[in-house]
Amino acid sequence: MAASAESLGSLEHIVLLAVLRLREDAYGMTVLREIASVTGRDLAIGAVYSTLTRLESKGFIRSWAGEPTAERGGRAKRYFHLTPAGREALRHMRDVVQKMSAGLKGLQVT
Amino acid sequence: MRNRALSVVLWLFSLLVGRDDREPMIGDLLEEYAARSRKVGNNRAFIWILRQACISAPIWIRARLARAAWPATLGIAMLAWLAIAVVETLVNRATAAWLSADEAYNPAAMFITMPLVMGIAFIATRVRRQAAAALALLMLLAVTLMTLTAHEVMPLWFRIAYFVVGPVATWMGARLQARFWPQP
Repeated sequence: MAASAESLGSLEHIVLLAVLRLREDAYGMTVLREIASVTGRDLAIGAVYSTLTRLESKGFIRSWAGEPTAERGGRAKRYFHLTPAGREALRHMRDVVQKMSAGLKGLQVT
Repeated sequence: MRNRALSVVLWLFSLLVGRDDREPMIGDLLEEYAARSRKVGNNRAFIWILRQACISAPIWIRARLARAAWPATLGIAMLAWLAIAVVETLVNRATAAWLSADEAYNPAAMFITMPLVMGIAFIATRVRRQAAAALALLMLLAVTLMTLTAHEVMPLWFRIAYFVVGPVATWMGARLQARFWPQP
């Protein structure tokens, strides 16, 4: 697991967390909105999709097609859901950050 | 007018996006466009789409180039081109001998070569999906250079046919491959 968690980039980490936060409503545009509203980062939809595709190829998320709607010009949504490997990768990243942050109390991070 | 501009932007977008992401992403953009149009008006919603297209384009171009593995694709296209050159020379010589026709500008040779080019493009596409597109591009480039630099006077039909036959035959070969022998 450590090897695959190590290959989690910062944008991949953020997108994975957004998918987790959105639960059953995670698709391209909601992931983009979630990241924008929580972090203030204004990402390109292309960056979000290429990251989601990469995460899927790493086995951290899986996708399935939703129902097409008129508002989307008859196009279906592509929903994403975290896999157990994705959850493990997030847990690993959290542990790494906690360990690296331990003992930094009082130190100025500038 | 605005709808047409939106369609053009989305069409350009769809050319860059990978096949798997195309439908959901265009759907996402349309959904967001509708939401923003209601909130801030059509013009600002369109500007948002335009901005998304501009900042996403480099990401998709980079991703497509990485996926296409261009050195290998170009290698296959060059090999196919070499095969076409050999076939073309043989057919030109054979038809000139059999029909006592002009070896350089012979319509019969062109008709015989076309299905052979299709066959070569068919095989090239089987080896590498993007090889036919690279091959057609190479052929167009070569024909353009030859036309610009050739000193001899070529018949007009030959010039036009040369521009059309090679790329069209290549495209047809690739289409046949996709139709009858689709890759997994």
